[in-house]
Amino acid sequence: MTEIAATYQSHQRKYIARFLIMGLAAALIFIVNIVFGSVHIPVSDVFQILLGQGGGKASWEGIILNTRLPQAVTATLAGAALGVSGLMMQTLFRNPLAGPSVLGISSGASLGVALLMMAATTIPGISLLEGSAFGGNLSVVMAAFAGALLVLFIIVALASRYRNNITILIIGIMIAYVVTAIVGILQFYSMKENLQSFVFWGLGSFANVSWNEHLVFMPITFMGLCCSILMIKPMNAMLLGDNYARNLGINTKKVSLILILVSGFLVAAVTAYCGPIAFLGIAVPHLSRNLFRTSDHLVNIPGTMLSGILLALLCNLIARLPGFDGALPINAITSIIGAPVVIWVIIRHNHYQKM
Amino acid sequence: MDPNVLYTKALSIGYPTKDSLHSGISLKLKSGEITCLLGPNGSGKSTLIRTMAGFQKALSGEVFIRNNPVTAFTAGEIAKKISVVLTDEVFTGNMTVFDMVAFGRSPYTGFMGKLGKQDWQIVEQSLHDTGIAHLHSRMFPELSDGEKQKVMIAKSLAQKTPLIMLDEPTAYLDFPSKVEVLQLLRNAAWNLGKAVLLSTHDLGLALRFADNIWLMGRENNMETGLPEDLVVSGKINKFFDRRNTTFDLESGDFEFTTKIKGKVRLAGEGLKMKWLSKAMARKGFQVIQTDDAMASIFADDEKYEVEMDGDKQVLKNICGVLKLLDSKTLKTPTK
Repeated sequence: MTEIAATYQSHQRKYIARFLIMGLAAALIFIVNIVFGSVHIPVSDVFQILLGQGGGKASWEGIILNTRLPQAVTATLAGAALGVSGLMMQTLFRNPLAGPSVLGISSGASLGVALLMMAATTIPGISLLEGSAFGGNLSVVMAAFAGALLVLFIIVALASRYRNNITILIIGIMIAYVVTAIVGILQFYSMKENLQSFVFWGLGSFANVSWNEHLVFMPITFMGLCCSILMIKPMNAMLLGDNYARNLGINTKKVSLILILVSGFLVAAVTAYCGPIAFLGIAVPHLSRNLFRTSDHLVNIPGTMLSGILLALLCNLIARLPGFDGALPINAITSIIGAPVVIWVIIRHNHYQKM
Repeated sequence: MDPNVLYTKALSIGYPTKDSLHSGISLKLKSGEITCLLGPNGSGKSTLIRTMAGFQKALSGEVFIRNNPVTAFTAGEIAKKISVVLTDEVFTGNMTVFDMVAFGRSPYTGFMGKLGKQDWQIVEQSLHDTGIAHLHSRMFPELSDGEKQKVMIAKSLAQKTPLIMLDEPTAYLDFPSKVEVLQLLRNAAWNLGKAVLLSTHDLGLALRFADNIWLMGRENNMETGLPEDLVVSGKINKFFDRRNTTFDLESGDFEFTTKIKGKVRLAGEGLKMKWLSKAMARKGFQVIQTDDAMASIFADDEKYEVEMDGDKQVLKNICGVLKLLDSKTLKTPTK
C-alpha cells in the first residue's frame, strides 16, 4: 500500500473512532436526560420503566414515558435537524455566518404565530388560553409552519430567478427584518395574556412535543436528515464554487434549490414545534468541522448530526437542572452555552479557515 | 483519432445585453498541443474560455467537442471532456491536497462519491505528474499560491479529460512558479496527449512555451498562429505596441521608452559591458558612438572605466558608474 493510501486510512480510522465516542456520549446524555428531572426517580426504576417492566410509583411511569422520553427525543431530532440545516446553508452560501435564522425562516414562523395571536385578540371565540399551554397547541404549530413555509417559498421563488447565492442571502436577511418589524407591530396590538404566551413560545422549549405530535415531527425531520445524506457529493462539489462544481458535472441550480428546500423544511418543523431556537444551527457545523478537521461532507453530515444531538441534549439537561424546575428557556441556554464553546474552539484552532 | 478535440464554427461571444465582444470565431484545439490565449484586459479571454467550456451560452455559432455540438452534452458528459482551472478563489476550508485532487474523480464516482481502486490510482498518478505527491496530506488553504495552482491542475488531470482550459493560471505567481506551471502544462500536452488552452498576460513565457498562440484584441480582431510566425509577421507588435512600450523583434522582449537624460559613449566587451548597457537604457542614458557624448565608458570583465570632463575614473560596479553620471546630469542647470 502506498504512503498516501496509508495516511488516508489512518484518517478514516480516526473519524470512525470519533463517531463511536460521540455516539456513546450521545446515548449516555440521552439517558441522563431521562434520569434527571424535578421529580427524583431512582435510576434502577427508570430502566425498569423504559424496558416496560413498570416500577416504583405509577405516576413515575407517566413522567418517564410521556414527559421525559418524548422531550429527549425532541431535543435529539431538533439538534440534528438544526445542525444539518445550518451546514447546508453555510455550504450553499459559502458563508460561515449563514444559519437557519438568517434566511428569515424562523422569523416567518414567528410571523405565523404572531398573526394567530392577533386573530385571537380580535376575533371573539378564539382563545389561545383554552386547553393546554400555548406552545403545545396544534394551532400554534400550524401557524408557525405556515409562516415559515411562506418565507421559504418566497426565497425559493427568488432563488430560481436569481442565480447569485449572495443576492438570495441578502434578500433573506432583509425579509427577516421586515417580518420581525411586522411581528413587533402585531405584538403592540395584542392582548396581554396572548402576548405573554407568544413570548413564552419565543423562548423555545423541547418539552412541548407529545407523542401525538411526534407522529408529524419525527417523519419530517427524519426525511430531511435522510435527504441531507443524499446531498453529500454535490455539497462537497459546491465547496469549490459554482463554476468548478458545474465543471464537475453538478447541476448547481437544482442542488441550490434542493438545499434551500430541505434546510428550510427542517428549520420550519423545528421552529414550529419547539419555538425559534437560537444558535444551534449556526454553531454546530463549526463544532463538527473543527472536531474532525475536515470540510468533507461525508464526515460532516454525520458529524454535525452527532454534535447537534450532543449540544441540544446538553442544553436541555441544563434547562431542567434541579432547582430551575424546567423553567429555564432553552433559547437562552443554547446561546449562553453554545457561544463560548464555539469561540473557544475557534480560538484554539486559530489556523481555522473560512469554512 | 481525429486530432481536433475542439473547434468552433462562426462563434460569437459576449453578453446578450451588449454587443458581441467577438464574432465569426473559428478556432481549433488539437491534442498534444499547448495553446496560449493572449490579449489585453477586457478583450474577452475569459468569456471565450467560459463559452467554450459551456458555462456561458454562445450568442451565435457553435462549439464542437469531438465533432458533437457542446450543447448536446449534459453537464455530466462535459465534465468528462473539459476540465477547467479558473481564477475563482476557492474557500474549501479544511480539505487536504488529496481530497482536492480527488474532486477530479467526481464525474466518475457513484452516489456518495466514494473512490474506487482505479480512482485511487488516477489521483495518485495526478499527484505524481504534478510533482505534489509530498503535499498530499497538507491542508489546501495553507499552501502557497503556486502550490495551490498545481493542486488545481492535478485536479484537472485526475478528471481525465482530453481538454484542459485554464484562465490565467500563472497570474499572482512568482517567476519560478510560473515556469513550473507552464512546464507542467506542456508535459500534459506533449506527454499525456491533452489539448491545453490557457490565457495569460506573460507574452515572453507564452512565446517560449506555446505551440500555438491566439491573440485577442479589443476590437473584434483575432490572430492565430505559431509564436514565431506571429513575431516575424509583426502581428505581435500590432497587438502589444503602445505609446511607451514596443515589442523588440530582435530580443523578443518589451522595450520601454524612457526620457533621455544624457548621451554616453560605451565600449568594451563581456557580461559587465552587456549589463551596463542595460542599466544605461533603464536610467535614460542613450548610448551613441559620436563625439558629443557627456562621458565615455569602457567596460570589460575587470573594471568600469569612465572618462568624463577630462578625468578618468575606475569604478568597481555599475552603481558607481551611475552615481558618477547622475552627479553630472544633476549639476547641469536646468533653467
